[in-house]
Amino acid sequence: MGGYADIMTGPEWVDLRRESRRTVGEWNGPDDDANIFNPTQLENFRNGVYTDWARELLGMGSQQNHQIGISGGDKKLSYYFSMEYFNEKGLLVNDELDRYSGRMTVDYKVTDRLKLSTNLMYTIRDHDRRRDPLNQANKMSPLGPAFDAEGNVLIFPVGDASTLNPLTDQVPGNYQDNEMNRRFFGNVSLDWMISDKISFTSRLGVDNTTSRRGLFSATNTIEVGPNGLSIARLNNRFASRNTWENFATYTNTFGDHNLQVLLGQSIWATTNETSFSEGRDLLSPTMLYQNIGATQTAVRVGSNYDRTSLASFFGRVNYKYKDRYLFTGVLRTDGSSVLAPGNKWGFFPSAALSWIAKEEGFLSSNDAISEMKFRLSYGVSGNSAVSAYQTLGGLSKSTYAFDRGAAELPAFGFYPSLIAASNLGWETTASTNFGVDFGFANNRITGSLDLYQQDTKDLLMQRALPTTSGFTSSWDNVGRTRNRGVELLLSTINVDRSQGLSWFTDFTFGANKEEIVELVEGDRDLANGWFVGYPISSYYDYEKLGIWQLGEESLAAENQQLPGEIRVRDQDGNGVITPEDRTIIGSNVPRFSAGVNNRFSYKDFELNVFVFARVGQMIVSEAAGSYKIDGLENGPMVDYWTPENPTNSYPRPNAGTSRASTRYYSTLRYEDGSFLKIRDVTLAYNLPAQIAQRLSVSRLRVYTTAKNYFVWSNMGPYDPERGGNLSFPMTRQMVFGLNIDL
Amino acid sequence: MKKIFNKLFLLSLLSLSVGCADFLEENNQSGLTADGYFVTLEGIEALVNSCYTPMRFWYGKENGIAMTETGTDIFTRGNGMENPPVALYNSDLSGANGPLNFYWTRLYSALNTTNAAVKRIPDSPLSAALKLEREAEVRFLRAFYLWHIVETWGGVHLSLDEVTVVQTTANRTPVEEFYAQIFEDLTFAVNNLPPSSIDYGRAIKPAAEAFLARMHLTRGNNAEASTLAKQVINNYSYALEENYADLWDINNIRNSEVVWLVNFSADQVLNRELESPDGDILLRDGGNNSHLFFLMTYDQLPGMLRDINNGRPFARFMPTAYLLDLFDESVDSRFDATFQTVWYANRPGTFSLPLTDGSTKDVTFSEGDTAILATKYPMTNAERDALPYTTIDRNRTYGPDDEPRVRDRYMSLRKFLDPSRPTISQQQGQRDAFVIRLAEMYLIVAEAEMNLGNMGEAASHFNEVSRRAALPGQEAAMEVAPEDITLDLILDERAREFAGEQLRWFDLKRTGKLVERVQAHNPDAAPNIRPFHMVRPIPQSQLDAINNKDEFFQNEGYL
Repeated sequence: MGGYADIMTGPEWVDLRRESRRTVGEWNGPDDDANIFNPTQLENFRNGVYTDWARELLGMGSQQNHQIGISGGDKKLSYYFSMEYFNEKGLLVNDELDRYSGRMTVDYKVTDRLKLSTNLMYTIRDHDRRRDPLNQANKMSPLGPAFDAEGNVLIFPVGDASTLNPLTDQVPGNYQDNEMNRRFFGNVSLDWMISDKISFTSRLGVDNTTSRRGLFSATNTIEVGPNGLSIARLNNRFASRNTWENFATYTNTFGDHNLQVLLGQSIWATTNETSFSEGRDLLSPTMLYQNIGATQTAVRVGSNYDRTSLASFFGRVNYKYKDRYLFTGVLRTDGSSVLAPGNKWGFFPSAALSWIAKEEGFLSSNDAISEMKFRLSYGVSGNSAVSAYQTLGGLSKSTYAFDRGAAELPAFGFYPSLIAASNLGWETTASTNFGVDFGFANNRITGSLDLYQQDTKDLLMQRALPTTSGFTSSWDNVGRTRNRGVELLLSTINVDRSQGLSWFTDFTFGANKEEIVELVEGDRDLANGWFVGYPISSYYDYEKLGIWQLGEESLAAENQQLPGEIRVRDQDGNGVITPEDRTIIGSNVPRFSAGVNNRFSYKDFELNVFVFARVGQMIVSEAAGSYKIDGLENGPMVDYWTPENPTNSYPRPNAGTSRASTRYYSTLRYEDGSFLKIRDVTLAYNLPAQIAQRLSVSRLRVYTTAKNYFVWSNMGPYDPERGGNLSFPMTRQMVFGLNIDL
Repeated sequence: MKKIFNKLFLLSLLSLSVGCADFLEENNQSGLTADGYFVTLEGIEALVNSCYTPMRFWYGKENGIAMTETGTDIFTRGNGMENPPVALYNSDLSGANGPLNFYWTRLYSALNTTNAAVKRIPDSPLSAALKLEREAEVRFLRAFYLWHIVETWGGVHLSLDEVTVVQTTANRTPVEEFYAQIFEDLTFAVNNLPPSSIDYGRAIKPAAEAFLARMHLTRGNNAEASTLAKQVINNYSYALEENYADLWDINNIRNSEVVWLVNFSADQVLNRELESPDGDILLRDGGNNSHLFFLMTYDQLPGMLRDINNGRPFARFMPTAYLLDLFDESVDSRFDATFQTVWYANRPGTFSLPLTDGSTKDVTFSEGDTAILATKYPMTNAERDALPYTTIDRNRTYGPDDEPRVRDRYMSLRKFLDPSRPTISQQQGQRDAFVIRLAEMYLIVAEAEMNLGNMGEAASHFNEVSRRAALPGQEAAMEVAPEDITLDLILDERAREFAGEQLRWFDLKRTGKLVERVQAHNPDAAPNIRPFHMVRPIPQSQLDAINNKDEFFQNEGYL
């Protein structure tokens, strides 16, 4: 497990709870403990009995991956064949994935002018999931033992009948959530060389997934709650995507001119069919989810169907002059079913120019500049990533009942729940890119530099609506954005001695500036947090200054606050904090990211160290926002205010409020997510060739990798690359591997 | 070979020419659209049905109870309350309040749904008679939702149109216009609803009259209020239950006193309320949840285990000392019907019982022995220590100024206990939420006639309610004389009669007594409440989402 968060220990949580009651006058000293703890927890506290629940839950995971691949062929036939097995055991008991995949590709030349190809792939994923127990573990009282004297999991460990031990889900027979996913992917294609200059390709593909997810959860599991009725649930899904594309290509060379023209058409359609059944109080837990009919109450069923489709026509011209001037032009038009009638079709042209300067006479014999290519492109692309039927609007089911005599008369209904997005159209992005590929000193230094600008208009987003309209949100084309950035790749060969040490370095750097350029109305959309000049995902909130301190009573009182509460900046300086004082305090878009990979090899040993940094992004930290101000539950250990501890970090514990209703509580969540980490270190040993030959293998490599072991950030033990979430910590992996090439 | 390719070419061309228009057309087979479905017979009935469902969000639900019972003179925050600002009126009560935003959203969705039904019923294939009846039902419900909106937030947005295109503005409509619409809708309902329905729980004429009586009383139209309330009393077969406690018997949910109700079910499939567009349920705990919230955590005390008869204790709301003191339990049966004061041991064994000096003594319980006794009177330490069970006397729960000292040891309101649930943990109860009981009609007449100066008639209707509540033989002791009738007496009687029934906040607001009574009787909220708290803050998400921010603004007083 990677960096996590420090959850309060028993004594720490006792202090928090006491302080929260002290603030409202319900606790004045340990004599009042009996008023604020239940008897069992009080006794456990006095006896020093408490549990770090997350530690009880989190163990070591593991991964295994075995793969064989075989390829070969003759003049008429070529093939590739592979089989793979992958197993991953998660950090939690009963979290395990098995994946089996097989793949076969065959190309067969019927004649010199006709080739038939097939490409088939089959994957089985067998995934046991654990319902997240960490949420429960992190919030429940630590004042109880995990196990009884016989070593059995104690179901209600903290003296009340509503707090379950988060370990109950791993008691054998209590919980199973299994997803069995079978995917078949295949296509057949035909390539016909009609003449030396004209060819035609037709390709028909299917991608079918059947998925079955079954859940059984016994009484006293996290899913059904304390003494809840067991639940059995079965979800089936059949997803299919069928594609068919046809295109013809004309290729010709006239002296120094090389021309290729392509014309084609494609269609694809996806369908999703789901069905679902569920019931409570299963007659025997041994049946799991394989006999939903054996549930006794609260039976529910459901099914759903949706279909989306896309049709495209396209043409492309590739032109090359003297192998150094290259031009590509594309015209395409796409029609998408999910967009509104009248807006379904979009037109997307693009063009690219390249100049391979190295081929010019003045450079061709230059050793210092071993490679040099300039690229310039402009293109428009479209996006219609919206779920089906948004343009139609829709109704959702309602449930009510009347009584007729002694019987209950169902009164199901439908109410307007989705407003028709009747103007929905393509989001388009015009991208301009300028790039250089270079190599110096006989390619000891190689790399590329790209500068780009992307102008997006008619941005497709779900926008919040004023709920007085009767609806909460709708898809819409909401505005324009611009992205500008630079990407640099640099590879150097620092030392390269064939028998001794070699050292290679790869350096990557990327920086991007994203901003909204225009909104539908005005330049501030408060409900959605969109602001002209700022990234789409910006945080609009109060700016926390600290905590009101003793001695600042009268200032705090102007804002109806007390010492110990969160103090925020009065942005407009009018002396009182109102929603007008919210401001844009950051965004989750990094300023830049950079990576350096150093590869060393010495004789038969290799060492690879990859250092990665991402800088400037703000993240919403679940740990930072899980401070339990009311002392009702446990949470991460934080530096909170008390009259004796005048910190500016976290407000005073207060049983008279709740997290949801504490003013400016949301300001506690934001943290600088910048980090620097050694993402992986790999040490490998290659068996010397002579020994390998004796073992009849052409290569044998043993390696070990440490992933995510070293992280530097402002977020304590937490690994910010996870993005703020607490329930699924970043894994640290230690990998041991073996590669054999026959 | 070439022939095959020619065919392929042809086929692909065919797919282009024929296919494209159809190929990209959407047909949502699993879903429905308003214009496609509501024009059918089953569709219009479905739309009418869906107008009933939103009532279930407010009644019998945690936050609906919090907004109507806490922050009044009779209930305050218990240990587990998740939305304390509603009980305390502190500065955390703001537009950021989640439950307020939830109700704002659901009530306006309900308004839109009823608007759609009112508009579409006349053009539907229903028979002419049924058109009138269904429209009357829906207009009754629309008035019902409008009342919740206008009393909660004051003069906010009012629209009578079905929304079909994205709307980014809202209007500020004066309270008077809300009530004009409420009266118009209810008058239509009274004139067109049948006196009874084969479907118990459908809107009927007496329910509309009763609600209209409440509305007239609210607006000071005393004569109309009294007339309508008397019609409900006299023109139908409603009768007060003989025994107040019987009203709350889970086997007596359909009784002679219920005029308007929200129907809940024992069948969880029928408790599922509304689905969102992606198929989720909008509120997880369907059914009537009111059995959970008023109970103190008895199961943590010696000799007690959680069981179905004592209920699943969420400890969200506790009574103020003032409410307990309102009852004279020597003559009024409602005290014992309302509060559980004794818990009998269901976990036999020997336990160590804490004494007032911090030491302990061993006590042994047999099944059925008294394990906990709660009393609203103070006891001395010696008295408490002498008893062989846990005592929760007045001083244990309340301080010298009646401020709560602890919030998980108190007398528990037991009217809503639901021992018919199949498991102790099940939150969905089948108890119908009583919205209007006949007793309210008597008290409406009493209040309206008092306002009109007819004290005799006021007293006679008042006494119908208090006499029914009397312990056997104490009827005379419960009666009041015409000259004793005051607004405060009526409010006291309403507290005794309707405690927990989601009327209190509205009653105090209607009578202009909210601030006065909270300041006098609710020490938790007394320092904070101000006149501007007579309406709730408008959700900030609404204010953020509109384009006419100059015209639609936060209620006065809220930051």
